[in-house]
Amino acid sequence: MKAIVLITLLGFPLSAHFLAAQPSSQKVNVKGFVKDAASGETLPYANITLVGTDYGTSTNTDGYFVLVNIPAGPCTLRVSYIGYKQAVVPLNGEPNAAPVIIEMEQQSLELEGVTVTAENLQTLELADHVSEIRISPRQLKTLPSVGEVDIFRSLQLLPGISAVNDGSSGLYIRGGTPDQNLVLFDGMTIYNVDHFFGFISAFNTEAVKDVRVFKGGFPAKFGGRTSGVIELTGKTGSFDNFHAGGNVNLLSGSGVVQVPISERGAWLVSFRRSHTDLIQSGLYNSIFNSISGQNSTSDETEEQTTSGPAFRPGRRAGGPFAAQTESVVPSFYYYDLNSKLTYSVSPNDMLSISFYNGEDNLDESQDLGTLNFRGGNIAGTDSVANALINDVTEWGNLGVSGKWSRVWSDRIYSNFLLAYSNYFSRSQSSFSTRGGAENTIQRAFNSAEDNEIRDFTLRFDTEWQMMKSHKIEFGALHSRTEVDLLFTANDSVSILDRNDEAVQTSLYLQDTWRLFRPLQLTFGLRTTNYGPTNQNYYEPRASFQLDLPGNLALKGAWGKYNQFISRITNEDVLEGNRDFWLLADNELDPASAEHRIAGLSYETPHLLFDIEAYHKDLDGVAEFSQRFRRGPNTVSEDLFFLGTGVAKGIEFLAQKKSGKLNGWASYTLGTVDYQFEVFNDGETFPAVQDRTHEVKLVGSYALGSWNLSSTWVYASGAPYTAPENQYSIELIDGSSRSYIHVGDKNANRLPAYHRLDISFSRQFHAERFAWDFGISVFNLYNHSNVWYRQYVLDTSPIIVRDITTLGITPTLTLGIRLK
Amino acid sequence: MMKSTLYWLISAAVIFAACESESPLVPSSELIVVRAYLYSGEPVTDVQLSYTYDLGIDTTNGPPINDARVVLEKDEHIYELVPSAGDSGYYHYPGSDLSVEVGDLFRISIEHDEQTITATTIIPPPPENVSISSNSMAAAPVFQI
Repeated sequence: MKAIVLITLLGFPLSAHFLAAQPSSQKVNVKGFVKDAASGETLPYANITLVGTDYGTSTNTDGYFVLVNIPAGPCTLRVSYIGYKQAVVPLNGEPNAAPVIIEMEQQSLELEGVTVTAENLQTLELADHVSEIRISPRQLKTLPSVGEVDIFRSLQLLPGISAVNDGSSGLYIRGGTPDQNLVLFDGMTIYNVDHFFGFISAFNTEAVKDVRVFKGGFPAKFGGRTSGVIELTGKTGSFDNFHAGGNVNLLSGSGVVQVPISERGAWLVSFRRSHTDLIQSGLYNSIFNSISGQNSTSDETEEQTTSGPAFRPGRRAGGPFAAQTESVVPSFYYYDLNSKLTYSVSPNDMLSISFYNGEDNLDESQDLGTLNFRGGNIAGTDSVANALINDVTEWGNLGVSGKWSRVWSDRIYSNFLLAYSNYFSRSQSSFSTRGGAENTIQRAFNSAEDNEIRDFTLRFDTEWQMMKSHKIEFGALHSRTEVDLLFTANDSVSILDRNDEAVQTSLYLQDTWRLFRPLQLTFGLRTTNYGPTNQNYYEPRASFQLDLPGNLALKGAWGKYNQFISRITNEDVLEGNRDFWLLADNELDPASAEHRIAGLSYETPHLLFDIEAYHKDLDGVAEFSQRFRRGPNTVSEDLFFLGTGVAKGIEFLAQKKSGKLNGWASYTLGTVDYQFEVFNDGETFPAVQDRTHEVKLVGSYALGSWNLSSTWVYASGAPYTAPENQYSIELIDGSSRSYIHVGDKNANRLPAYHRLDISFSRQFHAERFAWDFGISVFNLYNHSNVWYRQYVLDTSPIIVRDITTLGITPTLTLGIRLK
Repeated sequence: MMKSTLYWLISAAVIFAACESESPLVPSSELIVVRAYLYSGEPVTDVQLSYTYDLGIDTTNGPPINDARVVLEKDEHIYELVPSAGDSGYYHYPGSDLSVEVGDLFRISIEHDEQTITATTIIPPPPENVSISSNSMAAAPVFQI
């Protein structure tokens, strides 16, 4: 009996120890939202790790996360998000706990009297997915800018994203053109991403919360484009406090207001408008002259100088009246308006309505007064008459989206989205004279160009954390797109007249599978039924990430991509190229691409080294040209030419992520070659966006209360087609005519591009206000970067003019925020 | 650290700012220009070969080519042209067995500097009611408004 009691007594503590030592068999799900501590804004794609494990996840676009099947009991989460201090959150880990709200504090760009030392002031961050980059719009304020902080211009500082010239904020990602990128703002597809002829992007930084960029290999959730994805998430506004702020610079003024609604919602409005039609600052004149081709270098004499602006690809030229416009002071302005209403209907339901409208307006109309028409008159016209030019161009976007987000259960989260997006580009120009006794119209020439897209989209997306090792994402999209394109001359002559519409339905399914501890695989399939061709297009996608010892990671991706709407360049050697959007159909095949990407990275909390190689096969590359006619009965559809292309390259990135001095250096070696049967006798030629070598150095230094930043960019010269030599032919009547022989397409290179920008910025704090002040100098050493080369062929010898981009350009910005 | 960074930036700026620009005219390779007229009922005398010339040269005459092999082919018969007198680049057919008639299909072949250039043409009928002199040319109206 005593032995039994002893054994029992001895056994009890052993049993108790055994019970205490065994992990809890009960599993719980930890779910919640990550938010900005000050504004209450949810933070998308924040990284969350369960401390002491390698299990982690990231928040979705609405800031929601879930970690499934973790042992019940106390645990700690570590949360990181670019531009914010890392948060460490202890939890009880109880079953059926309420959603966790994790509030994160912004990293201070500077605090008056406090020197920032070891904080992480990253502007860019590589995500786990290969070729995915995230940037902090807030941190962009410290980088040099021209006129104002610009998201897309800042993205051009990233490896693999090229800026072809200063006059474009479009993103040329790994050899792709801007129209090959899917640009989403709160789910709305944005077709025109720039203001001011491409100099500034169409997105007000104050209205954007997060920017995620896929340079390639993007997952099955995204489709309809062949190059990259830029996903912008708009701010929702503070649920708790009223906020207001404004900003003014040498180009525009902007304001933002955030109004809480019953602590369950918010309404945010931001507005930006240029003052360029009222006050034409030196900066505006510098940019306008640069974009209009009036910055040039040549050896021409004053008598030989050609007159008038000559707008470059993407925008209309001075037109047939260019010679008359050199004394024009055009009226130009741009604006954009963002409005977003967000309301939490229940703990599991969120509604939001987002509105965007942006427009540019250029008016070059002028009264030419009395003109003398030489060389004989058309019957019924006066040789001396009053002439009037009416020349107005406007372009922009209008979009609205409504979204319902629902948490069905801990593991299932859905978004339902209804969106409408309208892109328009309208240009009307006319020249008329009045004369005679009754002052009637005697001469009248006019042309009009009108390109419009109307895009209606209904989609739903669902994330299902099926188990710890499997996250399933699936969804569907149904859209109707209408595209109108009209080129007319003299009201009745139709050069191009198309009205197309397309209905497409897409489905996708993707599984992110943590196969074993260091290896994560993602498999996806997207399928699209496209109405005009009545075909199904299958797009398999796959990617992996393998974590290796020593902070190394190996990544890769492969996928097929299709594009059903493209922006076509209308080649016009006389008046400058124009771009327009067109839907694919049986005559204009959908474009397609196949991506292969592989990369290796080494990353610590303070350093990042990343190497990534890519290879893209392109099909259905389209150009529109009237120079090459298939036959005497050429119709407009015969003026489209389809070809293929290959873009390949390798990118190197070295980033210092912390400390008083931080930044990155990148080098890209890449080529883009096209092949068209009709050009170059079918031989390959470099695309205009080919930049063999690109170097970018970006540095930021905390100098007391000030922040000093600089960027240096170098790129190989752009390819161009050049006249090479000339010859004369004696005609049958004894006269002689000269001809110019043009070389192979894009066989020559402009001089290399490089420039250095610097900026000084600082925040000032008062009790109720905060001030941002910044000085930037663009192109500090005033290098003449050649934008394009212009040849005057009717003189002997021929005159060559190099049209250059912006020279040294200082700017000032001033912002104020109500605390 | 700050000073060294600043010195590096200034040095880089000086280096790049001092770079001289290249000539904008691209180097050209000489191309062969073939100018040939065949007149029905006339001997072949108006075939001229020359080189192209640089864009920067103020002239209207390219360098003549006098050492090419020029051949006309008609109905599977070969007629070799010879250089005309002087450094003119002109070629003519010396024989009398080559006739040029309306509707004839001719193929010209030029060999020079390891290049071969070919072209074909069909002799058109001569224009009617046309007269030409050294200082004037008259033709019938082709349309009326």
